[in-house]
Amino acid sequence: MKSKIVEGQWALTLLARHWTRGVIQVLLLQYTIQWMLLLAIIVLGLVNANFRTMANIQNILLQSSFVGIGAAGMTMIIISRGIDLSVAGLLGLSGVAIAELGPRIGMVPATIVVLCLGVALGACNGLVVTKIRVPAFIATLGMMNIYLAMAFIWTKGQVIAMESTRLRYLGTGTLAGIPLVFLVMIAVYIIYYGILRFTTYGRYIRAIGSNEIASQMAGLHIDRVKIFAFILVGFCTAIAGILLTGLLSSANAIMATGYELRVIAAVILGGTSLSGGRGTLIGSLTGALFFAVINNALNMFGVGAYWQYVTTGLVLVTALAIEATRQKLIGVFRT
Amino acid sequence: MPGEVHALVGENGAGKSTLIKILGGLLCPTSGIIQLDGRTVYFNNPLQAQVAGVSVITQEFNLVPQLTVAENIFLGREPKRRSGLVDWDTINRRSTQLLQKVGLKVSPTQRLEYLNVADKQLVEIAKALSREFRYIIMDEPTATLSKVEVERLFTIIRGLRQRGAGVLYITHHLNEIFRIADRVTVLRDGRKIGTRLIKGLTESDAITMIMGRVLKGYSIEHEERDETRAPALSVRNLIVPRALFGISFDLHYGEVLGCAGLVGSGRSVLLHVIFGLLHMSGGEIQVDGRPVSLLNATDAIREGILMLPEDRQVEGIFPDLTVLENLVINAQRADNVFSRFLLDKKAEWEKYDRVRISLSIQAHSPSQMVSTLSGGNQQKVILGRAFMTQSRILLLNEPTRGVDVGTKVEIHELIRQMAHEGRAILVSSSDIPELTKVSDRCLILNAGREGGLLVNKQVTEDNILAHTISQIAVEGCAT
Amino acid sequence: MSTDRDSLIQPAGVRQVPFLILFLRFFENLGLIVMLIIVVVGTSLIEPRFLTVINLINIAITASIMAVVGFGMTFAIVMQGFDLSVGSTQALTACIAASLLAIVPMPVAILGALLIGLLIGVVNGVVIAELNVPPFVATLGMMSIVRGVALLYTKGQSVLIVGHDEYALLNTGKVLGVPAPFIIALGTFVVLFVLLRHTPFGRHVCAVGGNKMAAISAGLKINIITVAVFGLVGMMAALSGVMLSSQLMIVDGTLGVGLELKAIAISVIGGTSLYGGSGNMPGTFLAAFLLAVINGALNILKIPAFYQYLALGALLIFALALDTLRRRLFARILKESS
Repeated sequence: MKSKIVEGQWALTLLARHWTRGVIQVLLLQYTIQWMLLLAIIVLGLVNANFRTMANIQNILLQSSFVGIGAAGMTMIIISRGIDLSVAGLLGLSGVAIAELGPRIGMVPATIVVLCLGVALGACNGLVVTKIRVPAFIATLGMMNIYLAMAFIWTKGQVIAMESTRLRYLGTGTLAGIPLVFLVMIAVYIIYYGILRFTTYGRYIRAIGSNEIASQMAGLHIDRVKIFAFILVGFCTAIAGILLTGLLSSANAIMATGYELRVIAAVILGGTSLSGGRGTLIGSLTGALFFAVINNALNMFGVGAYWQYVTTGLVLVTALAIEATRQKLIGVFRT
Repeated sequence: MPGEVHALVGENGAGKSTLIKILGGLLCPTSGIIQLDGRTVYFNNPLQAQVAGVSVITQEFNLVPQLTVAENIFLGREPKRRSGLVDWDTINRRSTQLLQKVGLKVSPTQRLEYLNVADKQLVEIAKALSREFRYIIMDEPTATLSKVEVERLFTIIRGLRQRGAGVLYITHHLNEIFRIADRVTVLRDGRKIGTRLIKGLTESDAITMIMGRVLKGYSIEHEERDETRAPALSVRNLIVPRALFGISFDLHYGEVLGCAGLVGSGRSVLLHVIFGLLHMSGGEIQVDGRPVSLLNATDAIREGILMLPEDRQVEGIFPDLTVLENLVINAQRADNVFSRFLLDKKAEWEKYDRVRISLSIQAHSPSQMVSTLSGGNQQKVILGRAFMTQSRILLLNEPTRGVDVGTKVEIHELIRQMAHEGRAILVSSSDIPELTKVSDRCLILNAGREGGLLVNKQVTEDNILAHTISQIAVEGCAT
Repeated sequence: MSTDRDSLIQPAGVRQVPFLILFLRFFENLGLIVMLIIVVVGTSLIEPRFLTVINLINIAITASIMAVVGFGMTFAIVMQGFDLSVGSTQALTACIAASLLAIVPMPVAILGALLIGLLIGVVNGVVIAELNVPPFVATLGMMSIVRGVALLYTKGQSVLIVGHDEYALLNTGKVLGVPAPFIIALGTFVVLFVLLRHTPFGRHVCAVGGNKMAAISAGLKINIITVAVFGLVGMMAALSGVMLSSQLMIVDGTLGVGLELKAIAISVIGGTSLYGGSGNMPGTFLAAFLLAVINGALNILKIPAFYQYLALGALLIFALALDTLRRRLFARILKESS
């Protein structure tokens, strides 16, 4: 109880102090991306009537979910100062796995197997990085190829049809107007948020990203924590793979080409810093939504899908530039 | 001054590195000016410093391992042929000449990474020689040299002096300054304590200037220890190549053992070895009478040993975490699965509160970012980690570095209290008065060897000083 | 007292590099050649058609196109940088070259494509140097942007090169029986090899990669070097785009996917260390051939194409593990000998 009072007092002090320095500026800086999203939605909604329709909003929510789910795991790994570029292959392999295994052993067991597969592959990534001491980004780049190859070999290069109506419903259905996959994404974010804030390993992930040397001095099991972070990525990517298969009613190895770019872009845009230690899951969620909104807008204005490539890349680089300047500005506001 | 060897001495944290960085153009001073030959100069980058004739040789060599010796010497100023390609003949020829000057018998086409540390340093000096310079700054040049190599270095330095160059020689080896320097300036805590001529200066004068004056007197109770238990930590004949040459001592529960000695005497190495971060090549460590093998920090922590780091910014503080998290990062947890995985925020809060009060850490809220705390408070947080663990053996490396006087006193009392509660504490410090306040016994290290062991009433400043310097004139530097 | 002709203290003899290290370094490149021979011989035994001139020429051409990008990437890796946008750049420049051929003479078209590649690389370099963005993220973003531009430029269609048979000569022409692409790759190899090993610029690049602090202290202009290197990488990617377009004679915006991994892989397999500071150009060339040979072997043995992914990934991880092992081994040997 006493702790709550202290917290409250602190919050008030913070607010009071910020008041004197300009609430608007602080709020803007803390929640830049959320404001941008809001702005974009408002503007687009005003400008284009189609944007406001239920169907369109559902579409946006749907599209944002696949990147968003992957972004949850990617946020964790980036907080730990690592990166995972293998997610495209991992997702393809997961999608292929559920499509192939589903008819054979039943949807529910297959789902469990695929989730375990995601965990195992994540652990694999982690082991390569920690035991062979290879820089994460190259190691995962190589692993991606291996996962892609495995998916290709399994499907013999074909596209596999996915017959299960249950999975299709999960991928395309809605509940009270909200796409089910979006709800799954929310669930994932709640779980991952819980892990980050309420578990020891969550804290260790932040510690390692913040100062690896100090972590070593404090006796933290650095390798274990890094592998855990990779497992988190593998797990949620597997979920995304299962859901995407449900949406498309089919699966193939390259069903998610370019996934890693979109996921990383969402995370960076959301405000998580590449230098580790700090991260925001809410930000990644917002980032995923933001990209979905942009792409939706581009489609709506008849601008080809190819522009999405350009905008994703541009937004990523711009977000990085903003992050760099934001660092300097926030530095001014610190005590 | 040109034509002089001017020594700069001071303990860690005195500001020597910062000063060097400023003179070398890597840092900009917040105030004050640099005057070269009477003119005020500003160095915004290393190149400007070099053009002005200032050459800096640092401990972390500014050398590229993958390039050859010759390439390193002439980096940025490679002689070119008309075609634009590197003129290998010229570069190798001139390098050979320079290498001869410094007495390094290595082919200029040798890759730098295959050289040992002493040779690399000579390459650095050759690099400096290759330029027109008027001032050369050497930062701890003899740290890793053998006696023979040091002699070689001194010959070169004398040669430089003859040529009219000014040499700023930074070291902590006092014997060296008496051999090579003309004048000496002492720094402590970022301030200049004084400049003296070497002629007429005695060693104890020098050490007194370096170590500092007595803190306003206050005394702390020293209690009787329980002698019947096996010593918490038992070190026998510890050997680390080039650093420790057979150190033996016991550390008992309930006592504070101070560890004194100038920088480079091996104090830090000793603590790192006990904490498992460095490996010994000989000797034995026992905990509670059992021999233990400490291959990494995790091993040490498992044996109940905890080291609190010397440089909290680099090794201790997690800048992106809150005060509470920094404190409880390795707090003891119950052994069940739940506790190992889930955080018990309430329990942590309580622990934090207790520690905060007993250490009087000035923090508004546990959720505050640790980076907003003052240096002294951050140090307390790190110290507070000890309270969070069940570590029975604490190794404190410079526990009051960069901390204001008032907080220093608080920390000293805390250390005594922790000992009173039964822990075994080893305090390594360059602050002699601190050691007298805090230690029951005091081990003095001298160039990697035991300089003496003082007990109870013997632990006074004079005694510690005496033992610190007693070997200097005789021993020279580490062999 | 002069120290000029002074050798007061005589250390015993010149410090020798431990023989073991010299041997291991020599062994690296040799190992590649051995592997190459094994794969070629092995495949020919199973499928004699492997050794036909046509097949070998095809392999050489594939290897040459990859090698060109690899050389550029090696430069980047030496500086501890990476360029993930080379694949997209290859596609874009291939399409630009192809479409320019219809309007301007061949040399101008080629030059145009090369300049575009240079421009992309320079932008990469500026973003990395000025905005302090990690190279892989910056080039990841660029990869997407350039890919989008390529697709937009071609409107998703293929671009056909017609009526310019001389352009195909870039691919099919032979000098003394040696395929033209190989000559191009060889020429590029010579130029870049000399650039890296024998020019101040190349040495500076190694310096920046080996010890950035030392480079700064020596007064090297890191930013300019960064921009130059990435510009070079972009230009090499463009060159490979030109070569590819002359081979296929029909290009589109989806070319070059996965090229970046191949380029990084052949640099690492070729012996360039990820930790920067030194590059192994001959190794990159050999590794390009090794990869092309492996892919050719898989093709001719009728093994499905996607096993190539597996081979590439596995080879890369293996090479990286070797790199780590090599460093540890060297460090231990050095420590023991001093």
